[in-house]
Amino acid sequence: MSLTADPPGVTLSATDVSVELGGLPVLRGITLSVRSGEAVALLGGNGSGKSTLVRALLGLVPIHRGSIELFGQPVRTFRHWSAIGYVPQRSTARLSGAKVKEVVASGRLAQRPPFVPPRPADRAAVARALKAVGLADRAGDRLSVLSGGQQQRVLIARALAGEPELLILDEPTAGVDLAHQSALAGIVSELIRSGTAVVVVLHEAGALAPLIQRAVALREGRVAYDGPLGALGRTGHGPSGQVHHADVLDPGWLDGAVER
Amino acid sequence: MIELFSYPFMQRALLAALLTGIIAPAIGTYIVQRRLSLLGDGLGHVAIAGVGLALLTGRAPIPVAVIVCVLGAVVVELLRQRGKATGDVGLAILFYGGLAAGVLMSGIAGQGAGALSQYLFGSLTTVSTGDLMLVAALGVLVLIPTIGLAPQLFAVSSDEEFARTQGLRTGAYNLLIVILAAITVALAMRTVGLLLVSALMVVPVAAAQNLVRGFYAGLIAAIAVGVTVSVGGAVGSFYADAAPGALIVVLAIGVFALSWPISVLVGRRRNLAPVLPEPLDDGELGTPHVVTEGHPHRHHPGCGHKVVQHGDHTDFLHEGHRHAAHADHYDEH
Repeated sequence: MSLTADPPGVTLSATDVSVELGGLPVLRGITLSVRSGEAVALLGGNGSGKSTLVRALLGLVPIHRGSIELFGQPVRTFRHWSAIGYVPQRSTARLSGAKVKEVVASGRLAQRPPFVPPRPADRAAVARALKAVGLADRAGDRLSVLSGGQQQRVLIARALAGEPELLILDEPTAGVDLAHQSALAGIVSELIRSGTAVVVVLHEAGALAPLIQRAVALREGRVAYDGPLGALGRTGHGPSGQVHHADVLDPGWLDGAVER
Repeated sequence: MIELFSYPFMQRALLAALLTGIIAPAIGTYIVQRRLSLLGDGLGHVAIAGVGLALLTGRAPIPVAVIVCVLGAVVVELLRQRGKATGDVGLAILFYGGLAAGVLMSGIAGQGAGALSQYLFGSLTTVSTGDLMLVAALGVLVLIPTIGLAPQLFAVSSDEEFARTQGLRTGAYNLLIVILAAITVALAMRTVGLLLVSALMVVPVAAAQNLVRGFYAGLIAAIAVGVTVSVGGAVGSFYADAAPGALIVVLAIGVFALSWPISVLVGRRRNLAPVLPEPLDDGELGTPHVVTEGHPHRHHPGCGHKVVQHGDHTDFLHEGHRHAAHADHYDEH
């Protein structure tokens, strides 16, 4: 055990994390921790390193320097994966022939030992997850016949099926209309209330804005801002006198287009 | 037909064909899911080196081919996992090296390339009792993880990164898939043969995807198609006095060709009355529509126009728009 044991309630902590992809630095000295019941938005322009950070936190890309702990365990030796829910950026090409319920059921594999058929608890969790995203009536359909927004909700249901304590979503609102974003916001607020930590990569805050307690903005692989979402716009170096709306993030600032 | 079963060699050949017809499409389902449809073909070439080695050393061909083929599969997969297999060149060298080595070794053994042909396209009369026992034992060994680990193998072969966040050791599972495929390829050399075994791993899977919905239904349907064409091909080749592999593959492609129109027909029946989702966020705008008057045709179920269930009423598809009866007129949606 490390001497600097994390305080209780910390689900995720990254210390001085650097990642290089193809020899180029993508993340540089990121330090971040997320507590139970906290909802953190990762913001940033294209190429700022949001998705790479999320994938590094899950141990999907090797880190060059620093350390990452999930529930106090180094990610390399972490075994309690049933506590983690992950919604990747929509990439359903190879899933397209599978039924919706088959895709969602694969979110229970961390709970299921090999060679053991699904138990009633597994089936019930899959049914609850499908109901939560409003797709219970599409359980038997091929994923390929669903619209893009519905496919996104299937991937969210897959993560919910594992009843995670830490839910990580990578741009879950991309291509989802406002009404369904609100539905997603309802699901996420329910999870936060029950103590689940939520880390969500967002391009624009959208309907999730009221739930976000903390925004972490990345820029060129570094943390450019860590604080309440509402104050984010005002910290940018916009032209003097320009007032940012509290819940509208100026994408130009994050891309560096509005610098100085 | 009955006399067929009175020949002991034919009984062995049919049992071997049955087992091959089960395991090849079963493991093939994951190979196709991983977009590695041609892997079986490459492993078949590697197995030829195993047959050549067996001819050279005077050993039984199937066990030697199994070992060589598994070794080749492990090398290919480890190269892929370490990102060393740049492009297809490394794989091509391994695969064609296998074919060349096999032909060379069987030549040195004094058997010539002709001795290989019974392994390339299958041969019913050559299935010995020992072969059958080995095929049965290894076939069961392949089938247990192929079916028992189906949820894990499905997750790994369809969304590898997500599978890792479920705690699955994706490297080990991917290695398992290619090892099972390698064993299957080597076992199939008496029935479909090494050059055509890949077809039995891929074509029934493709046909099954046209016939049924979903991954598990596809797995079962692929096995059903595989068993049908394998046993059918073995029986047919007895009467036609042809290589069983060729007939098995032609039958499989025939089933695939038939599955196309069937999938279109089934799809049309399912699409007969699609349900349109009501937009969630109507707000105060309402749904825009056009009122049409003086429509001479009275729509009713069965009037020949395609129907769509739309919220609380039925629309009729009509010249590029939807007609809905509303009081004394039709709305064009």
